[in-house]
Amino acid sequence: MPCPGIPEDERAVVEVKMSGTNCVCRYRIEPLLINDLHLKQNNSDLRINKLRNLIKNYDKHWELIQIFNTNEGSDYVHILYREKYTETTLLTNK
Amino acid sequence: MIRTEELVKSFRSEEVETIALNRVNLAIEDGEFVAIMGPSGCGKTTLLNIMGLLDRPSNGKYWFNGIEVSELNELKRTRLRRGRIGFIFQSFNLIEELSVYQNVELPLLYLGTSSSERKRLVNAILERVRMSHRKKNIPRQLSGGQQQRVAIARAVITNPMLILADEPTGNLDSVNGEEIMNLLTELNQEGTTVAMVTHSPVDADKAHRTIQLFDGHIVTENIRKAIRIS
Repeated sequence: MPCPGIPEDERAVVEVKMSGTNCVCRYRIEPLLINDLHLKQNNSDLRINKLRNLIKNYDKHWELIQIFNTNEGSDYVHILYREKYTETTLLTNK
Repeated sequence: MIRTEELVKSFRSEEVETIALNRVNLAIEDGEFVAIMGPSGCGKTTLLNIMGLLDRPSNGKYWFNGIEVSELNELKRTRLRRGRIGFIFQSFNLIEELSVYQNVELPLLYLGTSSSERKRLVNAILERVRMSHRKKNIPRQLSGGQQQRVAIARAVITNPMLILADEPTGNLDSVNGEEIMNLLTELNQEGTTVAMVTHSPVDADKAHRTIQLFDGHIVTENIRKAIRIS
């Protein structure tokens, strides 16, 4: 899934419909600024703590699926979330 | 089965020290199926190699099956590994000069298993992975999916308590990849503990739990329930 270069305070919601089935999965890609000047000047623990806090405090209705590779020179890491399965994710129109 | 405490692995060149694993605390219980994910270079394979006793940590402790192994020398680690841990690699790592049968038989030779028992076990496992008809072939005569099925047969021929799989579907198409994942799931359901490094969220969905690594740290662990499609 190509990851768009969107700012930290915006969010991409990708809706995937699987043909022939009655299920919808919703995905979000969250960009996290990890290489700002403050973090660059300190050790990697700050980056890790920032990442851990973001994951820990994220919307509980969504689960972390993947942390993407950081592009060379990019200040962001992109994280893919998926909405947790509930009855409401089922479609009724077969 | 597996427990680590403040595990550190660093690599040092002339002037630069790279920390591949940074204070990793991890526990994997008997019978679990655990996926390990994270961006390239985050320490996944390094962690798998230490878990499989192929490498030693620079610092910290590692208990395998109740034994603290971080200080064991190469000989002792080999003895402990043999027959207890099966490895599956992305690039299959079969021995090109040996036939399918001989590749699968090899771990039993190291264990000193009798000839008749080897024959029985190899034929049984090749039957299970649907490779009996190709047992006289050499690896390059097989497709990628077939080679990986042989590699799985070799990994489980000794009935190991732990399977370590490093991107087992990474070189396969989706159909063959799904077949390999089904085999791993079956083995896990029969009681074998599985730890698998993967980039694939689809494959990770088969696991009970997913560990996410970043920059050598565990950043989160989550129990995942697969989405059921009616």
